[in-house]
Amino acid sequence: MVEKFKTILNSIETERGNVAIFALLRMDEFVDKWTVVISAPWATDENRHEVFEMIRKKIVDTLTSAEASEIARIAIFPIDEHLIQELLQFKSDTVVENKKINGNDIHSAYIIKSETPALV
Amino acid sequence: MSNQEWSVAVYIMGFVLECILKALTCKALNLATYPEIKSTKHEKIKSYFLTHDFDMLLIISGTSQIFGLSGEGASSWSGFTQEYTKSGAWTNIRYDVLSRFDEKKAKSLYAYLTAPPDGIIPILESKKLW
Repeated sequence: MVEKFKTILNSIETERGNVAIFALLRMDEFVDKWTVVISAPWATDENRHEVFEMIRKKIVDTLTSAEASEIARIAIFPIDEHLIQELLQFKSDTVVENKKINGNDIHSAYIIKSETPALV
Repeated sequence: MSNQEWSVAVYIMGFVLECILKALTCKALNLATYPEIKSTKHEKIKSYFLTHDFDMLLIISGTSQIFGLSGEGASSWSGFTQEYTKSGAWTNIRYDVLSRFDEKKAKSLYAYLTAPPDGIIPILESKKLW
């Protein structure tokens, strides 16, 4: 599924521009659900609904229905959000297992892209 | 909200969603009351019912299809719950509740929860689930 999300990221960046953080987080061991986390300079509160629908369509079109059912939410955060700042400490293509991030015990995480805003 | 206690309002809204999901669970499973610790001796049942976890409660309430990625409530669900799940158990927000949420964020979350037609509660009402 991670490879499919890399394809989705490429499609998003081609269409809208660079992304700072694109990651999959699984918060706990009881529910096998993932949160897709994205932060990009062009994703704001004002266009949040449009950005959400754009990303949702790409995910639904790319994943199988079974894979899509494993996605709990698409979380769109501004770059100054504390969680995003913590994720930016990791390099792209990092796999994280059982680590505390933002005070949260992350069961699994795939940091597909992490690029500080100054470099975006 | 009317007292402009934005962070307290955000905390209470978390409880509102939790209560809604637990009430929906009772309705879906035809339970007269929500399972309590005293009446639930099986540890696995405790992990499903005795939880604040929105994603767990979504499953047992039978509303995953509505708020899942392909469901009509996906946007509101994501917008609302992303603020409550980013720091672990959502109830943890009470520890920094005094400074974390401003008026803009509180009103945004209130809209995701209540604004028709796509808010979480209006969608449940439209489906006669609430």
